[in-house]
Amino acid sequence: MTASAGPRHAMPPSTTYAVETHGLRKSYRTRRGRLMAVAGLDLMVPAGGVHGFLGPNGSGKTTTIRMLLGLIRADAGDIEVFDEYVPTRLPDVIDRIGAIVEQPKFFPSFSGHKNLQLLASGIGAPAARVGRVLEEVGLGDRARSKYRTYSLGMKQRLAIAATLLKDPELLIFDEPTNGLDPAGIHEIRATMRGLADSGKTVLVSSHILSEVQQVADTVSIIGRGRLLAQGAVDDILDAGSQESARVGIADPARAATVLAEAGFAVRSLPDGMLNVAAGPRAGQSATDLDLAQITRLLAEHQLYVFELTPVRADLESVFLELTAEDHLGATSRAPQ
Amino acid sequence: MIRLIGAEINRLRSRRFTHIALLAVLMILSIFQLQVNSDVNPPSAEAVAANQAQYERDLKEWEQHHEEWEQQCVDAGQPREQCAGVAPTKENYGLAAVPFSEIAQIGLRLAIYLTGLAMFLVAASFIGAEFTTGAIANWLSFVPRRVSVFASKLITVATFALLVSVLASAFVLGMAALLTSVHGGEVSGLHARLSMAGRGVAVAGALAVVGYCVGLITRHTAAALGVLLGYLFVWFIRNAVLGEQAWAQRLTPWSPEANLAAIVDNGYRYAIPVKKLTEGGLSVEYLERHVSLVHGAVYWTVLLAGLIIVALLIFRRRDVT
Repeated sequence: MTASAGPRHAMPPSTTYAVETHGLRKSYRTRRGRLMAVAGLDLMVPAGGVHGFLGPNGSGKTTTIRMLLGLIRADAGDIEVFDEYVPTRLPDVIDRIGAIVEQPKFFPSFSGHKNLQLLASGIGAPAARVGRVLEEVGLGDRARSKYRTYSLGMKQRLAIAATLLKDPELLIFDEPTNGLDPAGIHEIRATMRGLADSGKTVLVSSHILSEVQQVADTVSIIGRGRLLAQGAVDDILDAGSQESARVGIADPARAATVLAEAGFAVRSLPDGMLNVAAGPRAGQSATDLDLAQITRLLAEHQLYVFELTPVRADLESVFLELTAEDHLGATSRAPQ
Repeated sequence: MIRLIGAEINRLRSRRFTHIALLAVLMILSIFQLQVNSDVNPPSAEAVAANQAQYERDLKEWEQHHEEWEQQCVDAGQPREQCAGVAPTKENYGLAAVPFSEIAQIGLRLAIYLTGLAMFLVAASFIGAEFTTGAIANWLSFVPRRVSVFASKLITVATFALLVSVLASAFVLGMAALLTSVHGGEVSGLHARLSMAGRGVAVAGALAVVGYCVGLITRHTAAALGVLLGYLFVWFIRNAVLGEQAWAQRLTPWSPEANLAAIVDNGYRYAIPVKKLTEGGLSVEYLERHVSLVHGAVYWTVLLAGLIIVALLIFRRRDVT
């Protein structure tokens, strides 16, 4: 598959979308020429559930989110949020959107409470709501402390509290777990899942794929500002990557030779086990590994398996496969 | 819009920089009242006698020697017009208390320019801090109507400057009147001083608008301060280094500070040096010119309108990262 052939998967036609972009483009002028940050992105975020927006650093995730929020202007393309064009009609839907872009940015010399109070008065949210959302995110005790004294996790939680001031239908979190400890990451994940379960749409961007896999219902994977794959997580995992098996055997070196001669792709693992995938001459499709064939083949050579575990692809492997196919990584410079 | 202005007022009055600026203005104006108290207090009979004697000595000496001093100056190569000395005047010898009108004028000038400078910095810092902390991105993701956001911040800082300037002028005028009365002086010419205070309030508001626009365009308080210092440098070059250059002084009617002074003082006088070659050598004549209040008001109206439009266009178009 090539990048020009379009993304690998698509959403079902009946899906309704909270966010849609078509042919979205954005480039920046730099000293070394133009930097193409987003290159014709067609993004579809279904309404309801958690949608992972994945890509390596510099792939255009934050730029896209900023365009969704009207913070930066697109060079070309359309953005629709809840069927309203952005940025023209953004003021009509902004009350339905809550967002954290990159690191939370508040006034450092004001307390968390004061920062939220300012936002609440700006959008007309009741003042009592400030205390409530601070309690909700567990910042009630530190609400009156200056923002600059907060830890990174507390800052993230304050940003989440800010998004909840509006009771939005769409929440956009850009790398929300950056710098958090495992407990903080777990907490954010649980918050996102909880919001989605209550009927909201959560768009979460991340480059930590394993983390998103645990919480997302659907994902979009981008590289170099282009869409590489999009759809339900299960569909992407099922169709997106080669299936393999973990094989435990007493004589792994001989077993590897036998399997390789039969056309399987064999890789030794650090714990002495083998990773076996269907190779080009194994007579199988890349995604349809026949475990029985492996046991039969090895038994015919008096090699007896003591462990055979199918290994399902994860998002990371799918992503690596996609980017390897397209030679895509971080954002690159466009031709001059 | 009212909601946004409410939020901006809340932020402005919670800022430490605002408190520091207000405190600095209050302190300087309070200290100045010591000078006012001293000036409006009529001197004692002994002091008057001593000052009168000193005045008479100086006048006599000037009458005896001023032609000689002038010739020495001309012989040293200076133009005759520049060598003409001025006879001592009684007003400079503290023979009587400074009248209310005069001390109020000095106080108002101080209050107007001090408040204007403080409001420039408060306004520049108010918007500059939003860009340096990145909080503007957060704010715009809640309130994406950029024109409303721009206007609410501008209205807030301008209104605040007007209010502070009214209070500062009232304080200065009130204290001058009080101290003059306490020392038995007559409070006269109040109408002219009230007019000056009114014009000064407008000047403080204008400088706050300039601070806001410069802070928004440069996106940093320090950069806005740099622009101000840069302008002062240009002012110094034009008035000190190029003070005797006619072309540099002809620019005066188009300089912001001359027009500002024309508003504050109900007109501004300046001189253009014109060099002439005479039989006695090179001589310089000074042609007196005048920048009127109307000129100053129109100039600043156009300047502010242009600055606001440019700042708004930049704010509307600029990517916020």
